[in-house]
Amino acid sequence: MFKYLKDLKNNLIFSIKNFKTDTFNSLGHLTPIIIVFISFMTGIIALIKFILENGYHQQIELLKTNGIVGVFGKFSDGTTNVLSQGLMLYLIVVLLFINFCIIIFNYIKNEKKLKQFISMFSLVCSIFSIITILIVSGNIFRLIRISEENQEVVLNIYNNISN
Amino acid sequence: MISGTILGISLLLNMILIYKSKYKFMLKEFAFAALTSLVIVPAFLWILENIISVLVTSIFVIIIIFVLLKFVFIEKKDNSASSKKDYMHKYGDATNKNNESATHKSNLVEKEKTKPEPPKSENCAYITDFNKFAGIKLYKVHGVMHDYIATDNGLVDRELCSLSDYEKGKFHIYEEKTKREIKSEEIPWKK
Repeated sequence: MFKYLKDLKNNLIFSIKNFKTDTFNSLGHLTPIIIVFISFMTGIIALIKFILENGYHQQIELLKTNGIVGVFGKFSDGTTNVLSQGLMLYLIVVLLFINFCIIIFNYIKNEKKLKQFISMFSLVCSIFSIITILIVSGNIFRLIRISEENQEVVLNIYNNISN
Repeated sequence: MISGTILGISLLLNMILIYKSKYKFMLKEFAFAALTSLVIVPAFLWILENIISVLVTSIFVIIIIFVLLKFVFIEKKDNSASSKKDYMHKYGDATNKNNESATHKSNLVEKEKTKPEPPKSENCAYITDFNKFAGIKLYKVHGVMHDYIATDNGLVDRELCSLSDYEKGKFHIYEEKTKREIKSEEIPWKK
């Protein structure tokens, strides 16, 4: 694990240095690191949010009033839904897909024509099938709605600041 | 359904192609990122947020497992003790016959713990308190069909084995405490 993290650090330094000369390769290294960083930061923010919402305090109160039986088997989702559903999950999934596409482009760039064709064809197929799934399940409209809501939130904050 | 299958097949095909090329390390990094962001971080966050409930529940589960294990363990010991009791009853231990109680059972369990179990065989018999006061006595008896060795616990006589088998060495009789084999000369004829 530590060796893997050390390699990751070396790759990060290498890809930042060679970003201009070898953009696709560097992006292939950088995107997973960005994804992991985003998920970690979201996790920390979710934990802080949970503490601010008196999550631990409520559990301690339960323990005080009802004893051990009060908290036995009472698991709450807390703020984990920030990562397991919602905008952050979509962002992470989209970034993972972008990372996968970058890897495929890297592969296509340096391989023979037949393999290039197979890889390209399967990539196009996967993109089309993802779009189909999103349309059929109605999630694409949900995504649009979420982005509109976020726009409204950002606009409100901007208006408050300007006023 | 169809688009899901196509997506799965095309992604799998691409992954296999990449895995066999020099870009395998990129795929590993991708897998690491996916696993961390979609499984490890949410799971870790969930554990951190429910740390009190997780601790309490795990303590409960450990206690339940411990109690169950202990129960099964005692059950096994009881079974072995009762089988030993049957064995003794078979060879006429009348002194203990009327004193069957829970304390005696537990004493047997303790005895089981301290000494190794004697070898069990169909051609062996273990006699408790051989030739002692209120113990078991052995006699050679002239029977109608054949001569045999009988146990006498003061109340009942019982045939143990045929005399010819015993003298040929096909059947062995041991003293239970000392594991000493009782020889033919030690057993008198019944008058």
